[in-house]
Amino acid sequence: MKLVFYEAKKIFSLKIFVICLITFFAINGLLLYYTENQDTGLLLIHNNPKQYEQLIEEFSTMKDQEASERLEHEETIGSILALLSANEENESQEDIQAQLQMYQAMNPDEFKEAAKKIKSGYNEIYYEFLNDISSQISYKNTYREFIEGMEKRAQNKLKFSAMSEDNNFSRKNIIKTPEDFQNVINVRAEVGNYKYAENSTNFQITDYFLIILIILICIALFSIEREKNLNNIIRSTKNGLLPTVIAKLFTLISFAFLISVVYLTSDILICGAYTGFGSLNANIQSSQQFMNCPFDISVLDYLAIWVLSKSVTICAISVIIALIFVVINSSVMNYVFSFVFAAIEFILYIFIPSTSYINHLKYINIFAFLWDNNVFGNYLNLNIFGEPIALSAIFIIVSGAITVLFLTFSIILYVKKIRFSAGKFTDKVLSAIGKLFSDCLNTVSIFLLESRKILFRMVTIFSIIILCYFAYNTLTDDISIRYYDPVKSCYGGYMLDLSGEITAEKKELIRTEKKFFDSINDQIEEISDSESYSKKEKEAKINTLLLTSDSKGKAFDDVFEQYQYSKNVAKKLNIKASMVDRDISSLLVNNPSRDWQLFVIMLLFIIVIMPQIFAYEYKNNSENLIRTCRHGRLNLITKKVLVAYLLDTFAYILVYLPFLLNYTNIYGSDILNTPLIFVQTFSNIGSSITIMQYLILLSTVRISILVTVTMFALAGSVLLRNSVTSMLLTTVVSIIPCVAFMNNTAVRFSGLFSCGIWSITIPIIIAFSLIIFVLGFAILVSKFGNIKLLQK
Amino acid sequence: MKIEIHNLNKTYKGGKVKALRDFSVTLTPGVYGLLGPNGAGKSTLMNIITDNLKADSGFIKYNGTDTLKLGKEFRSVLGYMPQQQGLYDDFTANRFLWYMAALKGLKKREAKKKITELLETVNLTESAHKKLGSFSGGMKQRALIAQALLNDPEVLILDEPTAGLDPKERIRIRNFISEIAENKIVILATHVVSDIEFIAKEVMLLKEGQLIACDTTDNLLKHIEDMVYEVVVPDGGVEQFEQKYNVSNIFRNGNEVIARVVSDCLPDELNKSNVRPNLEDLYLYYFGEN
Repeated sequence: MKLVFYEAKKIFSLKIFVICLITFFAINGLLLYYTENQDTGLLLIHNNPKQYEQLIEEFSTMKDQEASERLEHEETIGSILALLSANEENESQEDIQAQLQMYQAMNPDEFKEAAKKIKSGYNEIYYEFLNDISSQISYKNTYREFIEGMEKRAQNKLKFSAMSEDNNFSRKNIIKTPEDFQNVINVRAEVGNYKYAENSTNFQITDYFLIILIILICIALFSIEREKNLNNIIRSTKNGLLPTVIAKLFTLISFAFLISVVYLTSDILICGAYTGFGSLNANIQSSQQFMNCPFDISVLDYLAIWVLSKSVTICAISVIIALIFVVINSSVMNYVFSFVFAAIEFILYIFIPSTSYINHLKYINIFAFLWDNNVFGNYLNLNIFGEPIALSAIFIIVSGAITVLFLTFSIILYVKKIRFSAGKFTDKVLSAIGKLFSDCLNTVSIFLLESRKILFRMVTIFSIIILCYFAYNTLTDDISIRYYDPVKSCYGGYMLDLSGEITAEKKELIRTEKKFFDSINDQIEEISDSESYSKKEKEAKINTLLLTSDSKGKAFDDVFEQYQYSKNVAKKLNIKASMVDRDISSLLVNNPSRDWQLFVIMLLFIIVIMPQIFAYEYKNNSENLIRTCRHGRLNLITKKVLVAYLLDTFAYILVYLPFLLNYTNIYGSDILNTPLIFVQTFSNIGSSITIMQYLILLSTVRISILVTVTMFALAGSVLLRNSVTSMLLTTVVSIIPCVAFMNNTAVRFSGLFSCGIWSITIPIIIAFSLIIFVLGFAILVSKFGNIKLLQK
Repeated sequence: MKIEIHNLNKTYKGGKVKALRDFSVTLTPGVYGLLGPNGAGKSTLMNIITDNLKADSGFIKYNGTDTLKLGKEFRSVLGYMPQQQGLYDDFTANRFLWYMAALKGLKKREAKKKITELLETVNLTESAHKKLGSFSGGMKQRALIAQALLNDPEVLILDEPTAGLDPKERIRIRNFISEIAENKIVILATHVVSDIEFIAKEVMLLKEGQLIACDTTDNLLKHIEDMVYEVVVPDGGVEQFEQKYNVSNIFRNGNEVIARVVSDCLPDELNKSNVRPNLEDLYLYYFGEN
């Protein structure tokens, strides 16, 4: 127990852990609050909790029939009220008045009530809440039918011949499903407030924070001792092997569990405080999100199980990370391996379809255990050797097995002192190359020596190989557009002729096409009136025309609208009008998923490489020695920073240039000279900058942010005197916001241009990155160079 | 060539721990031994001279100019050998020296010549292409000494240069320092007093951040000339004796236990004989607990 106490003390003596523990807790709470605040529905409940609760209470005590009638009544009043208030604002609307007259005739009671209510104003909030209740009541009925009809559906499915085989997994699965749902056969959904349960269990950012905290704990327990060469001393003591590793792992698991419970409970409390704790004792199936939960448990029970299962998953993750830290003898590679492990799991979870025959990799996965309430909030059977096994059972077995197995491995490897040095092989190769080119490599250029120091490292070589592979793939990737929609295909066909500056020929083509489509109704009439065709011929001809109108006509509508837009823009900006293929241009100028992916790759490169540059000297205890050299201060710092930015540039070129080359190779470079404003998404840009200029400006914005992140990583590594903690800090600052906005495609750099705020925002971003650069450089000079910047 | 240190003061932990107090000394070419127990302020002094640490007050002048003002110029005449040994384990000795040569601003031809010479001097030519990580403690010390001498410094600061060396290597390095010290100011901090006993021009004794003495070895030893004795310790009284006096050595001569004691108030009734003092006795006199 004493050993556990000392191990726990080690964790708290790592300042960055304590700082992160508190800061993450605060940021997590703020982010959750912010997310809730972004949802207008939740915001309404937050601002009017009593009104919502009152309405819930009213409807929860009503019988189904009564509730439906009341809803219908209230909804009619709501519709009339909406029309009345619209009518007050705009009296000349004839259709509104016609609708009101209809309501007055059909629903006189509701109309009278609405007329009375309009005096006190249209209570929009009340009707928003009513919508919510309405969907709950509708779900209530759906759930009853879902449960009651389960057995029947299963029997129907079993009638298919494909299900006749006894050993068939699907057959067994169909039979098992109603059996599992027998537990909840009498459960009925209730109207209530379950927002807190839904939102807290869907908030994923907490998990990232928890994993980072786990890595920090592993650093405190395993890395620091190794870096300070204390391992041999510790291992030579009586309790230095088995008792020590058991104490370390026990401390790790205890901390992982405790922190998880605190963080996850805080999520529930924040959501509860925001929207109110509604019906804690109702069955969890009362919330539509948990419709497929096969357990007869209350909301409170579910939340307790959720906290427990997630904490257990975090413990299992901590044990996996611990094994990486025990086995691999390099702090950087510990981080890289942990990250690669998480990335692989993430990719498997996101990209494998749920019906895939390898869906085991999707569901027996840490992210499946952590997210989407998969384990206990949902119902899923996996095919394990032909038997349908529930994910909840798999979770219990797998997390238990992982914990036991990885703990055992960690203990054995720690006690047996088996460690792998990822860099040994490359070290040997590099040393041999070094000897071979000894004379060429012997230089007195600090720049070359620093470059060599950074480039000739396992992690850099590994990262550059990955980037080169990525660049090659991007360069050879087939980005030609395949049309599956006839309208889009026709649009593409038009744009083949019309793209580029609008010439007289193109105008003529548009005019001819317009004339054709304008006269299509006349043509149909003419055909139907004509006596020279038989009935069948008429039908065929009319159908052809209608089909043409449906596909090519719709496409031409798009083209014509774009043409009008281009003409207007050209007139307004006094430039020559041009047409741009919307789909082809989007690939280059407005591709949110690619933008996100490439930017994250750049950030990862920076996170892995940059903290090494200065921390390398701290790791080798050489900062005091090199400072006493003639060029060991400002000169060295400048060269190190220069090498960092050259590496950034190299990575940037590898990440971004191949796509541009591939694009211009397939679609040509003419589009680059077209003003961006002709791409309709950028109608608000308010300038005639070309796509090329836009790409340059976009690069400037990206580079500014990357310069900032790089300097943050460099200065962080000097302040923290450690590369791994700096990596973690940079990950938190740069990657977590990216992950948070992964699905929110509105938050992209191109958005600055499409919203028309680029002319103000870009100088601000550049100024901001300059300030960070100067501040970061000042930190490097004063902390690493020990140069006083402000003399008294 | 002269280094003047004026009233250096340095405190840690918000002024609670005084590492240096009004430290003043003037140094001219020759070897200066810096003696003092752990925590006396030796490392702080060396870190301030090398500008790895800023003094709270006071200044250091090199040939009449403040070293902080000289900055790069002072560093180009400075050679520093730190105490720690965890230096660039993945560098070969050759690569390490080339790197240091670059940082010291040497030209390529000059660097090549110096590195070959120094590798020979410190007896590392055969291990030049081996990684520092695979070096023994003594080999690392030699590599560190070599880097300190790369720029042919006028001021050489050596922190425990012979720690971890075998006697043969120690003598070799000691003699080498003595040879090159003719036109250099060498500050040599050590706990091994025999290292400086014969080569130091003067010895600086540092206690709790204060310079308590700075003089030639002979002059310092004169202070304790009549204070070092060999005493026959009564049977069973060794432990008690050690607690009472500064004992520098205990040995057995036949049936007698003889202790070498440094003390200015030894009782007359003891069976004692006056002996010639050495630096170890001096160290014990100033820094011993009794």
